[in-house]
Amino acid sequence: MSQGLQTVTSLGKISLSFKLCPKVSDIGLHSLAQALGPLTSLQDVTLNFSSWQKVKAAGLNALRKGLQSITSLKNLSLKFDGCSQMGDTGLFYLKQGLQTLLSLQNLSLNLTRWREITDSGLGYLKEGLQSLTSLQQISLNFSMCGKITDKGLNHLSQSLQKLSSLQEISLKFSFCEMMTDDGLGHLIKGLQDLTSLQKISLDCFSCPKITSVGRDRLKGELQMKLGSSLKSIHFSS
Amino acid sequence: MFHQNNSSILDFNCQINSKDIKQTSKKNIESSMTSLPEIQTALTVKMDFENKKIKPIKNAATELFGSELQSHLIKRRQGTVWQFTATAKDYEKVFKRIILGLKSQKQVRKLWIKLPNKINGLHYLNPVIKKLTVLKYLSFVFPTNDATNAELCSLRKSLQTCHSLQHLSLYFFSCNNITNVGMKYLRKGLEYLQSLQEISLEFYNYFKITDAEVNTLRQGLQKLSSLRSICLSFESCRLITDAGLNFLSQGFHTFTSLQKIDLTFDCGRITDAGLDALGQGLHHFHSLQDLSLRFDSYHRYWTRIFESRPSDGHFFRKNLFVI
Repeated sequence: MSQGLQTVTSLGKISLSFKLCPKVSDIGLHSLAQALGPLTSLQDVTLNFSSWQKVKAAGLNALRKGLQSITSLKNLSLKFDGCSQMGDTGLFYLKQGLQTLLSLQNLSLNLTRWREITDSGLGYLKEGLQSLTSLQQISLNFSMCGKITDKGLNHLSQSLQKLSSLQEISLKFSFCEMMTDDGLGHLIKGLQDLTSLQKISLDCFSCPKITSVGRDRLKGELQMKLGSSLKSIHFSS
Repeated sequence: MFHQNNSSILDFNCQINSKDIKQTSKKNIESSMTSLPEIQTALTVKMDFENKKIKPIKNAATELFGSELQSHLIKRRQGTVWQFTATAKDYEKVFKRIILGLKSQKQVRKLWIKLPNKINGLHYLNPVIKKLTVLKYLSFVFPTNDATNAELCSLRKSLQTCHSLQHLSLYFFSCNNITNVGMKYLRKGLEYLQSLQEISLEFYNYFKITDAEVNTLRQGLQKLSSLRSICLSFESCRLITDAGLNFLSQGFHTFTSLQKIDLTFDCGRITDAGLDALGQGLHHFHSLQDLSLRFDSYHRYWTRIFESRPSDGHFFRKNLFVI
């Protein structure tokens, strides 16, 4: 498919979905990545490889290389949920990719069930995210990434702190059982100076160490510090 | 999009929902919920007169539904858009009355209809569509399980006079009574639509559709050289193979002005070779701006959920299309 795709240089928007494809191999991701390179008019890319067990970090590295020439990219959505072979190495390649996409305004990463990622991996992601200063909307899904602790949330908060154009943020940490109220404290520090922020959505479903005290503190402090610019804050637990 | 620039547009949307709405796809539920939020078991008519002379809302309702259905009507007006919702159990009777009302609305430019089961809608609609000579937008959702080759034959006759049609949207759900004979009627119907710019053909749970039917459709589409947008969906149509993708790809060279393409397949029998065949056809699209390709395996997805969460199986089955 890739050979034909790379000739369609007029493309501004592309959405490819290969959810649970049993007969399409990992080679497909490598050749797809090569095909994206010449499509320099692209502004909107959505790739869905949900539950694709065959995808490994090397595939993400190839994709990163393909995307790095698309400097005009404004919207990027990557759904790699359930690709359980990814680990911190996957986040390292994501970091490298994000550092080249400086025009990004909207980023969505679904990394659900990347069970092996640790706080160090979120450290890599921090380095990638903090260069995206044009970002207006961000959605990060780390549900069922059970090794993430407050330290990882601290990394994330430090990167968010630099994104002064952010208007909407959605974070999901369902079943991240090691996170505590202290992690929410880091998040408050990360968000409290983002004066453009209008909408916050935080999902901590089945995080037993996060209590109503931490939740109320987060809501209260952010409402107080962001004032009237904050139109909506949603916290589910 | 094209109709938004026309100042004399008359939009007419009509929907009859039955209690089995959950059997339709999530996509259609979303679209119906957006436009018709209040009642699921109801018939709704939406009209936009824009710059047309505004009629008193009661008169318009009587014209469409007849005075005998006035007691069932809920009326609403938002700007120039008027919406009528009728609650009635006898859908066929109500549908006939709607059709009668449509006959006096020859200036209708946009028509959207969704029917519940057991109504041979095209049988009634065919003579009406012939009168709607300025119709530019037609969207029709075939009743679940009821669509047959005979209905596609009726559709072909209806489309014969739709010379002005610019947008056609047809949705088939579990229409396993349709064979390649029916597809050939559809192909013939498509060939009449030389002004068509946008087409959406969605087949869901059509287990019997094979590469042969895909090829027949491709032959019809190939005659539509004005097309700017194509949406073809074969979600959960598990018999389609690499050969089906190859057939489609062979028709791509006629669509040089295409700006948008949206294809959905069930990937159960599709391999790298099928993707390569499709890809080879893409190089004909010099103006393409928006490409969406989905090769998801929904069957495998839901099966996995059932298997992994047996205790929730009932919940997922019950809410399969609402999640």
